[in-house]
Amino acid sequence: MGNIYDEIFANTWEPVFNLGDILKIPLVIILVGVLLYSFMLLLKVRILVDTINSEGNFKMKALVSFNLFITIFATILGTMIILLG
Amino acid sequence: MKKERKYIPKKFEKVDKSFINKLKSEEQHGPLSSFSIFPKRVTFYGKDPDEDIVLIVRTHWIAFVPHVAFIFLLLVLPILFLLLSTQVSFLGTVTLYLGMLIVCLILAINITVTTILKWYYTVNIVTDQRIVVIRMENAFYHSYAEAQLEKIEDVTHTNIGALGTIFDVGDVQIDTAGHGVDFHLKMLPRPRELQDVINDLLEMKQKGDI
Repeated sequence: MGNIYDEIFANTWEPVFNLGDILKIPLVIILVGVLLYSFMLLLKVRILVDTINSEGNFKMKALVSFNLFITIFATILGTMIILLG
Repeated sequence: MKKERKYIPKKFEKVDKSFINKLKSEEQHGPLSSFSIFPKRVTFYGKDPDEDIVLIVRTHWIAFVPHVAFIFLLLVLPILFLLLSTQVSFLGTVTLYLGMLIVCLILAINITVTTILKWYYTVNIVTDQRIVVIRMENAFYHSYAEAQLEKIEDVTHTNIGALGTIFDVGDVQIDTAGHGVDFHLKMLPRPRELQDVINDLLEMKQKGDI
């Protein structure tokens, strides 16, 4: 009887500190921030292409477009992995 | 043996100045060069039809070495955490650090792209009328400043440190009259040649040759 009483009222709560869980939210915020930044980069290049017009502009536009595409893809994948992980 | 340059604007063909003679012996450079002389197919906002671009100078690549080091660190750090997470339970699950690796990878790609754009769109243009300085720092900041050649009072170049000596990199200070913009152009390749070009252009402008 005494054992059952002890088992019922025993303090079984043990706080588990996990660094991984704390990191989840900032990582998702960073991902969204980078996505917005890469979009801003595309807009900035559109302005700069008008400011200085040279042969390399096409390469730079292609570079930022590719960067935005990669960032969108990686943001979706990264958010899924972080939230499910 | 170097080929003689094919493109030199007409108004500069008969000019006997040190910089023209030097430029004549230079080889043609592509659009991604840090030091382009009489570049073809390049225009900028506000360029007059009869205005010729003499020189386009971009920051030397050595100025971006700290960026490369930071990008390298950004890629190494999550891999280190990923390896440690399998050993230390306190760090959490491996999947999370896989996500962290993706975050760092995107950050590294974006910093690399920003650095390339910063190099390409931070341009110092010397024309026969003025000096134009376009600066791009990141996605949120760029500036455009110009000064007419008549306004330029003094041009100084400094070449300091081991890197300056090894890579022939230096700063060029351009002082303008009045309270206008003074230019402090940092980490440029061949700074004394830029100074020579500006000084010769100033002299030609004063004499009315251009």
